[in-house]
Amino acid sequence: MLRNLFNRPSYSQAGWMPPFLVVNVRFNSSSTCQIQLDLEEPSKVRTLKERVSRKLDIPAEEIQIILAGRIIEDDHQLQDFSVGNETILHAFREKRKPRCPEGVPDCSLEPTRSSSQNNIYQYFVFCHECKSMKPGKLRVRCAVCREGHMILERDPQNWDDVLLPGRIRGECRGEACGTDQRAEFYFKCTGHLSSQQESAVVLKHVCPNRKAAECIACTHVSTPVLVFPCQRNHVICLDCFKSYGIVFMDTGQFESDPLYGYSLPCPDKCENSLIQESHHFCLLGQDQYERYKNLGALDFVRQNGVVCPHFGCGEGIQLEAATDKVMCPSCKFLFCRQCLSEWHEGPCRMRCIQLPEVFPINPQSKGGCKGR
Amino acid sequence: MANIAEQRIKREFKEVVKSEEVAKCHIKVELVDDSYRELRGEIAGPPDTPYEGGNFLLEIKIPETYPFNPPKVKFLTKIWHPNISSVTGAICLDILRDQWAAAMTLRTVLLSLQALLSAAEPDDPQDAVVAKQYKENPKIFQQTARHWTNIFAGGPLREKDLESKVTQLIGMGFDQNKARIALSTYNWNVEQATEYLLS
Repeated sequence: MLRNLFNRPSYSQAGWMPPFLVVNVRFNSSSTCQIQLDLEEPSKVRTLKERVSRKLDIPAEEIQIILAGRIIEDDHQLQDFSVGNETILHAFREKRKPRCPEGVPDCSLEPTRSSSQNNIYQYFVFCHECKSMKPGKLRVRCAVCREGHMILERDPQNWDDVLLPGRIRGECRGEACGTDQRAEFYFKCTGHLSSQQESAVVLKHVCPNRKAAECIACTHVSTPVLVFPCQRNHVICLDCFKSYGIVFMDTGQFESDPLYGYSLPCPDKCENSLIQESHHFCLLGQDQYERYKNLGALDFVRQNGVVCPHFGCGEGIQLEAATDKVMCPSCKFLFCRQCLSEWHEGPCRMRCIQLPEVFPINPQSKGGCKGR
Repeated sequence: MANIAEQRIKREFKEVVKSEEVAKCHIKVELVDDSYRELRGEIAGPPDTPYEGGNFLLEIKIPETYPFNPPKVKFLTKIWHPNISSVTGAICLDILRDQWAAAMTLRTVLLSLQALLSAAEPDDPQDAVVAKQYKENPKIFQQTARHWTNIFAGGPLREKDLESKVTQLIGMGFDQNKARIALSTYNWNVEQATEYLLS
């Protein structure tokens, strides 16, 4: 799924398109210059270098441009990469040595060029700024100076390479930084212009529906879709995912997993199909996501402790020692963990667990076991 | 939400109508009204079972949360089977409860029910009386099930001995259906059945 990581087609933001492209070129992580390129004709990397050369008075052949961890070649068109308005490119000055011997096939960045795919994105993020799911762009920077002057030693091959820190190193060309540094991947939302505080979380189970797979629930074909990590890669459309999440929250059918927390399996109940990242539940809508977090927290407390039974309290208490005597750190109520009533010495008087007082007790109901 | 359920059911309905099983008259499904909320299913009793030759009607109710939750299915035709209530028609089948999966369809449900008629699971019964008879008196169970199929589902095979016992109790003034249930329950022992009906 992660092949051609950076070779994504260019995008155009919906709506009005200016007749020119303005890109920011950060030179040696110190000065930034704005370059305006005409959109009428294809903008080659060489053209960009010539403009930078004129602005900064550096010979064009000594300028190298980095985008997303790689040096891009003179003959490539900027629009073939995900370069749009206000994209930041990084540049440094170096007399170009041939970077790889001839005959090594995959050392240059070959963009996939297909105009029909222009609006297909590979990644989707949940953007906290836009408060919604948006197409995202994968970017890379130096983990130390956090600048994008980074040439990767190799391309990421899978999600772990991207999401776990320190798996890929690179050559940092920032002035103040050493050369060999850890690379840090992050995602940018395409819904708004670049900002310092990028707060987009990648939704790794959401992707374009390239194979035109049917939704497991409504059987319609749509894109993007959520693909469960089960062996059969069951696909659900985002509308159905929302319904599915809400129905399963209503009926308490979420599962607790030591690794992935409070989560949902694929609707076909396949093994190892739990959603592995909780931000996917943002797709249920903001209110439902808040509900999901509350239910998840309550579930976590129940797995690892108790909820204070005192009227109006409901504090989650984590229990480390295997004792039945619990004092709520919030309301100081002292209670028995087994029967959830006020602390007592000796065995619990109630044979079955009484409902804690936080639940209204129906006065008409006769005794009997109301516990779990 | 209801929209997903409706879209799905419309498609599944077509799937059943076009299926091979329908062509062979093994299963059938019909709309009750235009809402797709309730459907009428029909399955043929499988060969080499006491249900052979009978046609069994099913009530299928589609919840709003379909397909994330299973359809509610019960037998409308009375049937003598360990996993189906002889009184209410309620079915004990895992896929209609916690083993339901969203990829299942009306067609797979109907075929699963047909399979249930061929392979009862008396250790996980819906009707304890039937299950007990199935395990302890398999021969009587077969006769009873065949008799019920003949009476309620249009099965071709008559159990004349059993019929005459029912007639005997009707002659004593009991209701036909009550008499049949009492006799089936007490392994067609007329004395015990009478005692039960009088108590």
